[in-house]
Amino acid sequence: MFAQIVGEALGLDPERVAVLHGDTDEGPFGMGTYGSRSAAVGGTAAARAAAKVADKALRIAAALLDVSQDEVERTDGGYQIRDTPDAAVTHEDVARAAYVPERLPKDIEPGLEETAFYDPDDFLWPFGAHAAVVEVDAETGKVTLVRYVAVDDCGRVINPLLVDGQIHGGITHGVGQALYEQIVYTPEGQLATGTFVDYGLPTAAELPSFETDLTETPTPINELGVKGVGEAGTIGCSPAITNAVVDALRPLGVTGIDMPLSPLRVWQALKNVEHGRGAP
Amino acid sequence: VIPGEFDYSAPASLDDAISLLALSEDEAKPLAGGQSLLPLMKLRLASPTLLVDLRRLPGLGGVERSNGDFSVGALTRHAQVAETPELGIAARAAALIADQQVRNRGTIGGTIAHADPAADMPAVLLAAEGFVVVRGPRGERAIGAGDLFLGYLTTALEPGEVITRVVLPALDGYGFHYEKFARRAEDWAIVGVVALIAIRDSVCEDVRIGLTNMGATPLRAFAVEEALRGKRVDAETIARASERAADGAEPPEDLNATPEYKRELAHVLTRRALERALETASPSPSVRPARLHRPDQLAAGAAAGAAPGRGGDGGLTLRQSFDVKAPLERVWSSFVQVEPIVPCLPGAELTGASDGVFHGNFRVKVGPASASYRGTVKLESVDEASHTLVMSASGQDQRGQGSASATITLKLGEAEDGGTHVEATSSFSITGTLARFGRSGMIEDVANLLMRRFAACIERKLTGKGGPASGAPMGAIGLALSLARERVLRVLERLRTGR
Repeated sequence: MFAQIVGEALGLDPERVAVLHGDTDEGPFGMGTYGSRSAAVGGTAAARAAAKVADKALRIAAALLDVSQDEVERTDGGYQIRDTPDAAVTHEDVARAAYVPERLPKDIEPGLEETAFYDPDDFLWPFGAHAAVVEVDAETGKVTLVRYVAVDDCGRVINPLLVDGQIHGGITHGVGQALYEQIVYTPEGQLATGTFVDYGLPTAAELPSFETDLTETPTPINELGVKGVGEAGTIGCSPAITNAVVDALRPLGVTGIDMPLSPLRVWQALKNVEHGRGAP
Repeated sequence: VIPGEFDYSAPASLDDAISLLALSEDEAKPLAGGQSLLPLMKLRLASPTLLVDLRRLPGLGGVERSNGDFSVGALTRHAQVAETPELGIAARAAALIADQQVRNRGTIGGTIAHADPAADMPAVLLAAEGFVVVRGPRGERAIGAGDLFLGYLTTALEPGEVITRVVLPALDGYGFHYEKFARRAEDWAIVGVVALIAIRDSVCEDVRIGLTNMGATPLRAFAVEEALRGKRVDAETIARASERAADGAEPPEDLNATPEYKRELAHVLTRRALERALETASPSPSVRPARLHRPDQLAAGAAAGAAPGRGGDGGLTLRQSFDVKAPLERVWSSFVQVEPIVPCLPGAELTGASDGVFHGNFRVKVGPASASYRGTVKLESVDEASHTLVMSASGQDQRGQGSASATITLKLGEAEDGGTHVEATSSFSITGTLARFGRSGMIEDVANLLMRRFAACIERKLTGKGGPASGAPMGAIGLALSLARERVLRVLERLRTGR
């Protein structure tokens, strides 16, 4: 996604963009990836830094071609004098000139590196609607997720595959929160869910094939129009499932159950209404 | 995550494997698929010093049919059992074990020898009334399913004995089903129910119900069987009979279920399993009469004999009592001295004493899991008038697996026969990975056994009657046999008191 943004700004194939991850020593200060902000905030900063690089590259290309910037246009492989493919320089020529500057005019500082910092003017609000169809076994309390439909709007979609992957992963996480995952300590303070045997993460066997779709409403807050998607799946999922279960049990008098909706909790909620004690 | 140090041997013959296992007894473990043993070792709940790999041994695989039985080689993988539809109920249950990776590695012999009450295959073997063929230092023998499972992770296998084949009756024409209830597909059963039923002209000629995870061992739901055998079978009779599925069972509480919930699950799942089994039953089954049993033995599981309960502080509290055939004052004086009685606790060893604080070690072992505590015992209070003694004990596992502490109140009184009646109330608190074993009632089982051995030893010491007072660490086999005896005693007691 970062490679796509930078590649687009520089006129380069994204595969030629190397993104350095996971080392705060390598990059300038940033506050990290939280609040679904990687694309919207980090992406915008990357786009702005790339735009600065592109501006300078254009100046260098114009100098190499010995014309004014207005007369230069970008091509697939580099730059040329407008409508004149014979008078062209490649990206590599421009980059080499930036660092081996004997052909560079004195008024252009050598180097082709830029940093951009970006602080958004306002919050971004991706939105969506999630619907879950569940079956509840009224005798055992077991909840089975039968169908899951999610339509999200994260603004402009930079990479549809990544967006769908984020939503799938988020929904799965939400299913875990709604139905399985819980840290349990005994009264003596012993962690009772110390392995994934006891701390239940959902697996593919527990999940239906998700049905996902997107609407695309770009945000005016940043120039990319992106609103972020990291939390869309998780945020929509847990309430969709919990409400579906409570909706299924409402005719029996259940009005609420705390997550995770384990078979035991659902069964106990049903027992409670059976005995006229109301929902927990 | 990283197991303790161990040696590894992959002998080429079964006799060599048996010799290796017999020589080092409970320090060696046979390795088959490793799907239960290796995780226990990685959690350091088990630390065998030698693994004897059985996988290169010839003749321990394959499924054969002869004389109406299926003989399944012990090293046969769950995946292969699952893909052998002739095996009926065993194939159905094997397909539901854990996940595909585990089914590709785990073996039928391994899961039965491990005897986890939450595992699926033990209940199948029990319901089908199959048996295992074992080879050991003293040759070959067969152990029927009903005699095999003695307690939590504990079987009747003796040191050096290895399961070579698992024999399952063919049960042609029986309808069968395994209803496994778990939160996720790969989880252990919260409760599982095996149903086998033979029907002729709508009448139940034979029926067997096996229960997974309803006690320290797999169980038979004899009450349901009694209610159906010889009766016309329809939805209503099945529903009524299934209500008795948990009769006599004392399922322990765990993370996923209360005892009450497990009993209800057993009821519902038994009904469903029978309904599904009925659909697959053939009109002309070749019936194999179930082995006779007394209805009094309904609860043939290793449930605790004492009354366990959750104390106010959240710890486990056990109340036990025993009689010692020695005068009150003699028993009392040895108790208050502490030193004479410590060697009577199996696995306990006194290493020193100062200012009323006694230092020592305590080793306990169940199945492949063991703990070795080092700690102290302190006399907290002594009340001569009421003959009441309060001791506190605490220790740290020497392999860093957590700690254990207990407060034990002993109240002595004169028994009718001139002996001494001892009432013990113990509050336990166990932390660390070992504490998770508490989920299956194991701690109660072990504590009851320790107390009985303790009582017997005290009596021998004070009266000079019986064998030598031994404080040797309790081995797996001793524990297993004692647990079996415990259960027999409980059944006898139940018969006597008419409960």
